[in-house]
Amino acid sequence: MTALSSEAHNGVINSYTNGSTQHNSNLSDNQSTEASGARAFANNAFSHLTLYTGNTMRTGTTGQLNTSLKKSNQELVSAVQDTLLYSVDTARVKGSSITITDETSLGPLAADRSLYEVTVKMFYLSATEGTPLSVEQLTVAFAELETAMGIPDIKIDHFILSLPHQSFDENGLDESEVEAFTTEIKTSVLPVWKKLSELRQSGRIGRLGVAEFSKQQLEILKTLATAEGANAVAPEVNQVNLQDCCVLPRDLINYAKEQGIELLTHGDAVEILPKNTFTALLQPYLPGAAASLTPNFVLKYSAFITSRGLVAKKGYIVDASSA
Amino acid sequence: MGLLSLGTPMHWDEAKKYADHVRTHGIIQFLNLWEATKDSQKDCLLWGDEIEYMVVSYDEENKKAKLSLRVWEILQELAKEEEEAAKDPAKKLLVNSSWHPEYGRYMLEGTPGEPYMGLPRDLLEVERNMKLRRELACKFMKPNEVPITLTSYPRLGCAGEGLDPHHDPHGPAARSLFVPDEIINAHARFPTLTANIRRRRGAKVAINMPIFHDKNTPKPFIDPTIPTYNDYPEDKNAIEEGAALPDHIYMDAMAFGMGCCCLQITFQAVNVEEARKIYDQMAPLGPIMLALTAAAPIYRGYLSDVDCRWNVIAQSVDDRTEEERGLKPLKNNKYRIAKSRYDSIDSYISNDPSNKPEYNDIPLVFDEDIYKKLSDNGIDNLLARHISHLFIRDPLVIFHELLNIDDNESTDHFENLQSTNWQTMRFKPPPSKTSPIGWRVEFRSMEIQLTDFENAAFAIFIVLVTRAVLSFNTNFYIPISKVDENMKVAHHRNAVLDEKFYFRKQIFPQSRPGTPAAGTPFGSPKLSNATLPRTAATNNSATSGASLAPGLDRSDEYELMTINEIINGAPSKGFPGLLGLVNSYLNTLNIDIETRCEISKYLELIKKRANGTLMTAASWMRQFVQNHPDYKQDSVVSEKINYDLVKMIEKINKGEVQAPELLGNFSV
Repeated sequence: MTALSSEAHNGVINSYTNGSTQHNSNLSDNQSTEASGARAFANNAFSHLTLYTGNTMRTGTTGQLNTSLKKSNQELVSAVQDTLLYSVDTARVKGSSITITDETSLGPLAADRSLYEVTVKMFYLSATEGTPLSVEQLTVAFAELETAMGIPDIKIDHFILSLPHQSFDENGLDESEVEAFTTEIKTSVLPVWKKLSELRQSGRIGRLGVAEFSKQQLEILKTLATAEGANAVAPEVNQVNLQDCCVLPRDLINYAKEQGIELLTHGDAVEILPKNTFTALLQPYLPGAAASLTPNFVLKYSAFITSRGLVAKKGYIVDASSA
Repeated sequence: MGLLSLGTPMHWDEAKKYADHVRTHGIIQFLNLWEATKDSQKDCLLWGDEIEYMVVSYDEENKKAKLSLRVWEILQELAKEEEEAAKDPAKKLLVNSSWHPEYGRYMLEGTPGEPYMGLPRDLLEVERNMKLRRELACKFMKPNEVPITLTSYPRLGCAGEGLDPHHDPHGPAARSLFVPDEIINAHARFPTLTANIRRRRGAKVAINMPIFHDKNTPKPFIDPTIPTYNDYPEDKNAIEEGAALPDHIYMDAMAFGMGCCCLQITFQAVNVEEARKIYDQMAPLGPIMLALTAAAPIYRGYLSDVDCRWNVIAQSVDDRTEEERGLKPLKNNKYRIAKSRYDSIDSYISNDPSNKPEYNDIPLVFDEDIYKKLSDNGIDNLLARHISHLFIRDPLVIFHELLNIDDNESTDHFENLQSTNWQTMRFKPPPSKTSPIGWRVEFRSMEIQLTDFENAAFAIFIVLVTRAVLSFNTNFYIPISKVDENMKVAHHRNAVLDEKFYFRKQIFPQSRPGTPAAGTPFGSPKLSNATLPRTAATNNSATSGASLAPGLDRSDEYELMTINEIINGAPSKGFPGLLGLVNSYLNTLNIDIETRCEISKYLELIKKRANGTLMTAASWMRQFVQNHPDYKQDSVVSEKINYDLVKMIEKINKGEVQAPELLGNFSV
């Protein structure tokens, strides 16, 4: 059995696999009876999958977390497991696309939009090094967010772009590393960053940021974004790991203060949804598609009622397709 | 504490004639208020803390620490500051606090000038404001005076010169063998309250706390320091009538209870439903927080076998007659009443579906006529029961001038009874029809801590727990009789580490069986449920919120847990703990690193007190006494030990001395 990012999950995934064996034998025993929804398309190969998890604040997923873990994807894995268990039967299949939606995620925000602070973090996952992150996926992401939140033309108060493999390194970059990072930003990140900047400038995004950047990396992004003709914005937010919040390097703190960059805490694993993990999660439910589907991105969203200090909604959207 | 109306209060013989008058009009006033405010919505979380201080006066020459009875003078000065601040915005920033008298003439109560808000960065205000209050209070004290936040003053009521200025005990109001009437706040309300409790009860209050038997403590312990007097009939209570129990520390006045200090937190809810929900959810936490904040191990100069003040206060205002206490058959009184008017709550009040009837398992004594009146006027069953239960008590202080008031404008008679039912939670309607303040809940069980850092930590922790409760829609319900059992256990010496408390196992009502969130830990074989279709899952009664027939045995919903498990979680059981919940909540918010770092420190204190890395104030004080060179292992806390203890507390507060077993590396 392939390992998941969080070791603790191994037992769970093994059980699911055992469960699915039992599942298949039932299928052959009950050939004459009406097959359930899941069984009907279980062996299909899908070219695209979208999964909307439940409101993790209400399903107990978020509350149950082991908060001492340094960086974790426990919440996402837990939420996806939960959703597959309870909602795969009611999935919508359209051609070779499947959409699985947890019923607790549906429903618009209960009160006036102005009362909420909506935060979205987009984890780009499947980019190959050297190729640009897909701007088209950004459009897909926004459409999926609107579905999840039940709000058309949604405005996002905080939008965080998370790059694949980006992890905070307090050691400075040497010359060659600076060059490599600059190239990476220019070719991979800038197209998406420009699109996001447009949304920022038109008011659909309130504050635009990144995650796990060092001071040098923030400077490089700013330089490239605000260069002549780039028409992009400098980053306004940088997420840093929770466990480091009391020991961040001074240069980053000072730079952030000068530039008006909010340093906000987070606890997300760098590799939020490795392909192996995703395959293992899907295997018991969609054995036909599990191996071929690769996650494109994960969206993590939350809605916070600022005046009362309450989290109204939190969830994930997983978008995957086959090559 | 309570109301401070002006006027001439009635002697009990007169007041008792107007008990029904006050009750009847109190209910009318409540109904009028209800009509006007039941749909009120307040969009902001606003909350505040109340800190109570004792003012100590040192006699440096003789190495004595006395209680200063000069507080009313200090309060006059503070009131002037507040007045000036109200007119001058610049001054307001420096003062930003509000000051009130309390029962003891040596006590001060301070609250923040403006309520706090609910975002993490607002929480950083709390310690700052508490420190500001302490500084301000010091400003008007003499050089030999100092305000300390200590739950129970160790040598209150000891013979000798423990008060500044000195007064002999045994005045007409309290008739106490140990404390003078001059220990009571001079405002007419307080001595009247004291005397009327005594008159109604038919005897002095009798407080007995078990003594801590140390190596040289006599067994049985018969207190040699109980004086004999022959002036009042109550003088017979202690020894002749046996009110002073052997092996106990006997106290005979309201001052021993209401002269204790505590930490109270009040929140405004968005509406009445949310207020009722928070009231219910926080109620089971009362005994947990009492054990965690334990800071009162010493009474009348003796080390006791309890670590907290709650039962002392309960007994100190117990106005129940012998009939009401079940010692004589009911003749003049209407009800047999199980508890003092100061004690833990007797019923849950929320209409939330997770509040099952089985949880209200204490037979509730309530006024049937008042219940009917409330019910007929649209008050639902649970709220009507709650209020008609509060109203079984008699009003103890009635002012002649305020007897007849406009029930449409005033809520004085309602507040009379509402504010003299002192419980672990208080459900507070808006103060008036037109007030901008909404429905509130008060959390009242915590003991005051020695430093502002600790008081801020506990206040912040409670606020964050309420935010987590509402964000996760948690369910902490256990039968209320179990909450009462927890209250008893919370008093035990070192309960925080040595005792277990009933707590609900599955705190997420909407989690679905077979998932990790349902309390099944990762890797559990219980996941064989995974192949069940959804409809079968709802029959899994132990974990889901499925509806069950009333009268069901809910005993498998809760179990005994240690404070460490309740606060820090039990990973093997899939129980996150209150800190786990708070951290999961905080990790969902956009918080900047500075704020998160600061808040982490407060939460770290809570964690360490719960897992025993750091001692509670009660344990620390015991250790201090027992290690003191003057201590003779006989449970006696001498004047010298008392002086050194108070001095030490002062120095710790000022940062002059470290107390690593109490505070670790935290800076105060």
